[in-house]
Amino acid sequence: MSAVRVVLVDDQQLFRKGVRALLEDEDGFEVVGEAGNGAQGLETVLATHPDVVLMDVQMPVCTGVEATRNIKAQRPETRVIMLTVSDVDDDLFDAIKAGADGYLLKDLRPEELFQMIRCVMAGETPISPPVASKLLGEFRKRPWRETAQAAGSELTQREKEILQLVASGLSNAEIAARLYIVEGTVKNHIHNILEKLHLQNRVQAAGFAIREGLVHPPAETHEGP
Amino acid sequence: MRRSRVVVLYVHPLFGQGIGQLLRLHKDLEVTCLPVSEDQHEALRRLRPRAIVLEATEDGLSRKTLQDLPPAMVIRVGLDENTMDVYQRHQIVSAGPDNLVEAIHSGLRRKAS
Repeated sequence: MSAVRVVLVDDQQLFRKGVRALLEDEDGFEVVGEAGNGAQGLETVLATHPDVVLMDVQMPVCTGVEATRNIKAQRPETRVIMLTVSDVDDDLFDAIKAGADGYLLKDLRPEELFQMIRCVMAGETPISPPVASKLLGEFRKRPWRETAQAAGSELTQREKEILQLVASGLSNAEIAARLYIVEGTVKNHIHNILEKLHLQNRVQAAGFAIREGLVHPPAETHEGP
Repeated sequence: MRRSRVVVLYVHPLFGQGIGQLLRLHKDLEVTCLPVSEDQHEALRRLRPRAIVLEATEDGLSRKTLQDLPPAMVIRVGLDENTMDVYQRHQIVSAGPDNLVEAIHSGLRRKAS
């Protein structure tokens, strides 16, 4: 299997070079370029055609969100994972709207980052747990709710079934095994679900499913009196 | 070749271990990466590093933080900036004016050499 080609975009040199060194020491990754701001990041992506971009959010000249929007417009097949210290709501939601394929906080361990990159290459959407709940909470009250709600009635029974499993946290492979179908068919169904609901990724789809009562979110635990 | 022991104290594992990986490319450095924790003092006493790379999340380095570290060069780095602060630390007990002047001259000599 060929190595995952990665571009790093981050204005903190020490962090960028360090992550590069870690990736280059790990089997299965090839760092094909790096950049210190979003504008350079776009140029590097267009020149190197990576599989994955690890993108900081707050950067000078051109932010990571703006760069992600431009990359997705010009090379939609490139997966962009935001890798940031920011768990600010606006950064998170703007990044998702710009087409980010994942949103990770920098408190990851290196082996977790490697795993998350492999996940995104398998069509999944890695999200750091602390920001996942924010995301679901926000999607419960977003204005696109009515649009998606109306579109939801267009889903076939099979698509609703798959949507429930996506929202339950199952990967494509697990869904395929559960329904006795091949993984490619699951991917096609998910593609159709996202099209019908006018959503961009499976995290938004999971939020839709929870909000519409197709599945129930895990019970929250409360500490203290 | 004599190797210098360096400890990287990190808050964010990806940052700290990335720095560690970069430093390990230099064969004259023996690098250990540790998370900032309450147990770090014992590990630092045992390792006796000549240099400590410290990921700091607050502005500056407090006196308390410095006092908790063994005498060594301390290089403060942070995820939010492209700068480093380098502190050459040693402690003088019962310090008076003469010690202060000597410390200044010593620092100036080191800088000139």
